Amino acid sequence: MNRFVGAIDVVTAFACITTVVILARYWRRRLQKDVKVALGMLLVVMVFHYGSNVLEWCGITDALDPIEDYVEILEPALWGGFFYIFLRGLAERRLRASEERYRTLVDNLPQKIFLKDANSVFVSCNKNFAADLSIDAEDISGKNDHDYYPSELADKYVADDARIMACGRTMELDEQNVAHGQTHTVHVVKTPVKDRDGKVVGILGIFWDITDRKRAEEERKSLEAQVQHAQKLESLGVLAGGIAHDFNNLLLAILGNADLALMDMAPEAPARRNVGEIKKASQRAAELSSQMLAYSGKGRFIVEALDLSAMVEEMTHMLKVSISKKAILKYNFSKNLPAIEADATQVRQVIMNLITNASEAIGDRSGAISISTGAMEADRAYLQETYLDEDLPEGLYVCLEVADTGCGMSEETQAKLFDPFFTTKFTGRGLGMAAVLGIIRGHRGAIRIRSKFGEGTTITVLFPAIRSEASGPADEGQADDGQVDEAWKCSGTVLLVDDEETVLAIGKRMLQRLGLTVLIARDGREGVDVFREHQDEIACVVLDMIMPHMDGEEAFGELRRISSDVPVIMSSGYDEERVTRRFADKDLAGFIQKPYEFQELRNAMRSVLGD
Amino acid sequence: MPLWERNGRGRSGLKDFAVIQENEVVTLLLSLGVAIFIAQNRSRLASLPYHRFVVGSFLTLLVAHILTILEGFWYGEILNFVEHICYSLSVLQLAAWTWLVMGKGVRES
Ligand SMILES: Nc1ncnc2c1ncn2[C@@H]1O[C@H](COP(=O)(O)OP(=O)(O)OP(=O)(O)O)[C@@H](O)[C@H]1O
Ligand SMILES: [Mg+2]
Repeated sequence: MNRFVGAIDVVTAFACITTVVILARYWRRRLQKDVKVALGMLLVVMVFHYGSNVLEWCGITDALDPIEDYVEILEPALWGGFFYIFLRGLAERRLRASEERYRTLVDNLPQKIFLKDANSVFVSCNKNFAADLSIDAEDISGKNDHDYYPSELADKYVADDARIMACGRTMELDEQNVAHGQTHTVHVVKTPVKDRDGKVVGILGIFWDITDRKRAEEERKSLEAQVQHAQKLESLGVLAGGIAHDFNNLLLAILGNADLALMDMAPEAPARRNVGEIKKASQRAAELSSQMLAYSGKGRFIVEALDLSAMVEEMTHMLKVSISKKAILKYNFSKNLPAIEADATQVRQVIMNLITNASEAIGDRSGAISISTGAMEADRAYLQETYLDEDLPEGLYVCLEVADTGCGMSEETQAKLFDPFFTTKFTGRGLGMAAVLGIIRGHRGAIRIRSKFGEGTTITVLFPAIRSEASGPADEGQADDGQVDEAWKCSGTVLLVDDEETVLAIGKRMLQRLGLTVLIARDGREGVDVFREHQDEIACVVLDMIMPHMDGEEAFGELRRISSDVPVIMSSGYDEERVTRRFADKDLAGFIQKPYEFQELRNAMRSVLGD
Repeated sequence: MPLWERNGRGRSGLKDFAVIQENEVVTLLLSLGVAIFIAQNRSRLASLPYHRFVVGSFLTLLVAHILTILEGFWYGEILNFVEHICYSLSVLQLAAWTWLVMGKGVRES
């Protein structure tokens, strides 16, 4: 048996040496170095152990025997070391792998992530964040916000951190952030990091760029505000127009009655002065309502070819008396301006409003107001600068410029300039510029404002020019309002059609005073019926434009069908230019704007019925 | 007669007396300790490449260490024979493991 034992030992020793050879031969491969060292030591001990056995068995020497006993003890110890090192290496590898996984996760997130300790000193961050700061992610540890951000920003970040760590709750904020020297808006989520006992030991932050989203949001908001503003103005326009319409009817009653009362009074009657005041006040009220109508864009009635220079020249006297004594008026008219197609009354209203504002801007100081007219080829760039750029065509425009050396306007004032009822004046009503805007819009023109606070204002109004050369101011000498024949009277029958009771009453009395017999009708249909009955007697019809059942236009058509030559005078305080233009093509005998006074009615009747 | 008899061996390591040697006891205790360590970490060791060979190699050695003690009491000759076979198996397993882990699949270049 012992012989075999010796043979076995030889095999064992041989296997040992083979293993050593394998290990040495492939030393560079695969296994960790410390594992290989441990294995090598184990093998050395084994070689010694089994080698000495073989030597003894072969009878060469047994001198190694006593040492062998001790060396044998090392064997299990080295085995233990070998296993231990192996397991430790394994654990390390696993840790590294898991760390790698987390790194990949954190670095590949599009968000920026950082970890700070309780003193707001950076511990680590992800690649994205490091790229923002143009550093390597490893370099961040030990740095703080002040190393990377402007000091106010850094102070804010640190203060936020402190607040969040103190309250121990996650917080979300929108704030500014600087990356590559550019400021962005970011959304940041900061979470306090707690240890096992719940004590806050740091802060974890994650943030991302929301600049684009914010910008889009702001754009949407401003657009909404604009739309709201536009809607507000539109409804104000409708309101103003509606009020003005009703006002005009009431004012007609007041003015007419005052007129009639004045006529009936003895020249020396003590109430004459009061009635005069009533008349004046209602005239001012009529002015106001005409401003409102103008703003609502519903006050344009008679369109004719006008020479702007000539119109302003005609007004010089009126302008001089209406401005402050300290202001000097300068004129600068271009001759041979192309004509414009406009409502003269409204253009006058524009000029008056602009001049009044200029004079009020100068106030008690001395200053100058210059009024210039001219023609210009307005291109898209110029039109874009104007207030009303509702796709106006490029082309020839006639312009009126009113420049003053007054107080000027701040940015905010300029922004609200055209809002109805916006005023900076104690007694102002804020309707002047609103009316100008309404009128210019109605004429498809444009307004340009240039103003500097404390230096003055220049307002340029553009009207589209009529291209034809042969145009000129129309019916120059037609209205000779100056010399009214107080005594003019006539006879005949007139049909007055209006849905307003007050207008009917006052109109009837005015017409009767002219010596006319008056038939009345309360709407278009009734008007047509009455006309059909009294066709032969009726010399003239005064027709209101807006009425229930059948409006002025329809009634006019009906009347024309019954009689092709009866003169019809249209009366209205409120309508659209389109409609009146259509009437202009037909043979309308005249137009009288509400609220009308006795004189105006008389002039209208006179032009229709003749002397 | 002292219990610990160090020079009680003849050729080929077979004991002449039924005694327990001091170094053998220490070796066995250490081996048992390592065996306990392996038992505790067996699931983690299972992830070692070819772990059966290397763990087997050690366990075979443990058996040999136990037999060294036992052969002093019973069937000395047979147990001694088995013990040496265990040594041999242990080393062969270790050699196989080393080859599998390090040498296998290498082509000379
Ligand atoms: N030429 C100007 N210079 C300085 N500020 C002006 C000028 N024109 C208008 N403004 C400013 O614009 C505001 C609005 O003008 P707008 O003519 O609409 O109303 P108002 O003059 O205050 O009142 P209203 O004309 O109805 O009597 C004025 O209150 C004034 O602050
Ligand atoms: Mg004004």
